[in-house]
Amino acid sequence: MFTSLRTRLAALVFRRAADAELDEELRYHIDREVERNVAKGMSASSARDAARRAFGNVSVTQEQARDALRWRWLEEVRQDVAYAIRTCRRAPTFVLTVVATIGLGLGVLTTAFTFFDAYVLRPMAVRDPGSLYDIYWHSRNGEGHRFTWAQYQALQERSTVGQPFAFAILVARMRGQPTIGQLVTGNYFETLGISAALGRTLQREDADAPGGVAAVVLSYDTWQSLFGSDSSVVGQRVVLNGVTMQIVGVAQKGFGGLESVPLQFWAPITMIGLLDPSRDAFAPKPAQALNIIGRIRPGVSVEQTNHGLLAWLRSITSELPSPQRASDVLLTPRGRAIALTPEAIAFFTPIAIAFLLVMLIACANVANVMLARGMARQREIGVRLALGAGRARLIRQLLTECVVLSVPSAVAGYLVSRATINLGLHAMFASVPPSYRAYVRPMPLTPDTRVMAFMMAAAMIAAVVFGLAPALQATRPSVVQATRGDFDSNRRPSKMRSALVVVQIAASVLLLICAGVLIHAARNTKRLSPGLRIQNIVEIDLLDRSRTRAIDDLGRMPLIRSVASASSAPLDAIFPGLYAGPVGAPPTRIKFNIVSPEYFPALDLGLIRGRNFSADEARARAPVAIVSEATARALWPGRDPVGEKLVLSAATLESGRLSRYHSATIVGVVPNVRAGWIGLPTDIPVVYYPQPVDAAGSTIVARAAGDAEQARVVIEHALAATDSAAVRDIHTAEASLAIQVYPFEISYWIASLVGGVALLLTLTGVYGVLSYLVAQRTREFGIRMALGASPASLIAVVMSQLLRLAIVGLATGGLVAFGASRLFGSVLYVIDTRDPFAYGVGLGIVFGSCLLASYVPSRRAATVNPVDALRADG
Amino acid sequence: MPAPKADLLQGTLDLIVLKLLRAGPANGWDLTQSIQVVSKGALDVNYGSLYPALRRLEAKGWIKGRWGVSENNRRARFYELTSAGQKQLDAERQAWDRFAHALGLILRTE
Repeated sequence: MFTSLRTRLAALVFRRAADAELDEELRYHIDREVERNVAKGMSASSARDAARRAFGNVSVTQEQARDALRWRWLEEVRQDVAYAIRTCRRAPTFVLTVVATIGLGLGVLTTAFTFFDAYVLRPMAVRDPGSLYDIYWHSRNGEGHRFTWAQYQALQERSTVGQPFAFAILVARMRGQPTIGQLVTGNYFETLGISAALGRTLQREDADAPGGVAAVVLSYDTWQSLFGSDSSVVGQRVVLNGVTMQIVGVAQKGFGGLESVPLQFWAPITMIGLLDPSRDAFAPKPAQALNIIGRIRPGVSVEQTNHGLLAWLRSITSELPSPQRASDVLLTPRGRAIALTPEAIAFFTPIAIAFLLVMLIACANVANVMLARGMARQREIGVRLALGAGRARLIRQLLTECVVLSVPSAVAGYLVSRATINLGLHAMFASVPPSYRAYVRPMPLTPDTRVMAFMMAAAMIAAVVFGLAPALQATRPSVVQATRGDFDSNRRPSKMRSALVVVQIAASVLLLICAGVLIHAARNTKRLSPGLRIQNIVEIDLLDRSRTRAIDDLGRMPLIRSVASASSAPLDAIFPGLYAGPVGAPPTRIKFNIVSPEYFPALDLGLIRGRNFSADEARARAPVAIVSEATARALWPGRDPVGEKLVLSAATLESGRLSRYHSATIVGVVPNVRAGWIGLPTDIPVVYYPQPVDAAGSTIVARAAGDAEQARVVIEHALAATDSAAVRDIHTAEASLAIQVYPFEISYWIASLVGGVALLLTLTGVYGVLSYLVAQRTREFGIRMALGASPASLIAVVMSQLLRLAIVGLATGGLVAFGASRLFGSVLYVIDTRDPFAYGVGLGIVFGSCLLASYVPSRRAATVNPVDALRADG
Repeated sequence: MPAPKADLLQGTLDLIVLKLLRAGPANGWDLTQSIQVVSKGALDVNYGSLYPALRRLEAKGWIKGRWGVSENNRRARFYELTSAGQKQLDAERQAWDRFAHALGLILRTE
């Protein structure tokens, strides 16, 4: 079996040598025959003739011998490839057009796939990533819950999930840089099978008891970037949130945790009380601060595990009031950066469609070029058909041409995708507000085998898509017609070509409308008023131990107008919610913020009714409240809420730190604001409770006299002078707003890019098709001209041909976009998916571009010289 | 008048080549001579079909060709039987015997 394979392969590879051997062998045979004939007494020449006659047809023997030795089809493929390369070499412009078009489409598509691969497909490089699930649960009142330390320990005793470990995300400054890390249980590294590149990882003893060991493990990247790959880093001390920690090791290269953002350090979870007091999972009334990830046990289904967890959670919450009992458990796979949940699929599908459409447009372009070329090659194809070539063989040969073209196209696509990724990352970093830059940490985007395989497959499929239809069409002409030299009798544009143009125009319209919708949404978001004055505002997260002194320092700084504090900074995150209502009424969901009296004037939130908190009320955290207009309208419609009582629901009282405000008297009403996120509508009810300016765990909101960014720098330096760890985080409110608008801007840029590429491809497609049509009808135009047609009427002939296609395309694209908007409108509530501006712009641009693209070819038609045209060989 | 020459049955050339090569390596010319001598001139081998057959057998791995020097001191390609070819020969010979026996029985019955 193997010798046979080897012989055949050798024959294929050393084709010339094998042929030469055969020749020599046959020559030997004939020579011997001649010798024998001569020995019999024949003359030399007649001996040779006789030998030849006896042997028969030498070349037929050669052919048969060759066929016997090789795989015939492989030989044919070889011929096809050689022929295709020869053909391509003769038409460099054609090759360049195809390679550039497919390369562009494929490059854009591969870029999208690279991101998808890095976040969704690539399994985390840890032990058995597929069995890791994140556990989250809801209580009957709909609130989401994580776990306390006691609950984690109870879960560890049970066998419901395998090897559970707990963690909490921690944002802290390390060596002056904002970093993101994780507080983890001692089994974290062992469970994930991660070793240390230097020193050791965290072990069980590190996180045995509250307080724990002040040890920290750095990620390899952080060790390189913040510590300059210092090999003596183990044993050094760093300060995290004011706590001195000892570096015990560096994790293995490439490990960045299980989050969608690569993590930079790990410390024992038992340190959480010191590092982040507001989330102390070990306090007498512990916070549910722990995320738990566990393994689905082998042979146990996710559903069974879910049932087991729910039963356990129901049993431990059975003593609580009904709304706080467990109602359901959510298990999310964590083996990849982004789990492919139904929501994720709903999110990625339209994006994937958009990128595929670009590729489709590129393919349509090339198919059109191929069609035109197929027409031009009818003489060649006709002759080959006449000489007895099979249609299947011809189609195979034309397809081979496409596949041969797909190789340089794939290379071009690869280069385009690397360039866009590098450029994109660069642009992404450049456009992030500086104080947030440290948090923008993309997953590694190096192309892996999956990306390569995807690209090759896409290039091959594209080759078949753009090659098959033209191949079928090109081989259709009858032999008679072709040999007569009558190639342009089929003068009407083929249906297929028209269909391709219509599809292109429709897809372009669709993509440009999407881009328009996003562009408009991004611009609107930028112009949205958060409902308060954020200019000149600096937000500072302070370490509690130096809070009092820092506030004093701030108060003495001449460039600071006022200092306020709030449990939630105006635009850092969506405000937390509570359930409350007037006495006797059912509680409703309201967002809340606990603020010092200075908060309202600092942010220009003037009181519409009533008064601000007094200093005494703030100091005592008195049971008083200020509500937003929306709250007043929702709870006390048509009445003045000042003087009314707002009563917290039992569940809210049980779960939080709000018991002081159990029954609060409304003292004032302020305008509506966006409750922490720019994407929220302004009419969400908000209630404010009082706190002193130095309340622990709150964010300082300082109003500067001048530019906030300058003030930020000054403040950071000044506060660091007294305590280098005092500032946990500092940024301007405008930076907060910018980072909230950022995703919209990014999607706007991506949509514009995709729409732009689509438009460019469609333009060249329309231009190419019309140019070809004009060239094909040159003789006809010449005759019309000779008969007295005006140039304008000829332009009209060409343009009207396009117009018909354009109108069908525009209508189709517009309708599809409208249909899609009905589908997605409900999901994306920030975005007006039926924005008339976007539709107008999208349709307008595509229509205008089509006219522009058709103008040059129609001018050419109008300037045809009748004499030349009539002489020209059709 | 010489006896009419018999045409080769389809596929029998392969069997003949294998059988002749069992005696030892031989080149194409030797094989054509042997066939005529052994069959006493009764079989007419088309030389043109011998060489494709040799290639076919080689591609199947039953024989192996290598260049050597012929008795008149010229470079010639010699073929020898491989062990796979030996097995094939045995199998085909048995099949032929069975076939010839069966055919003989049929032809002898009146």
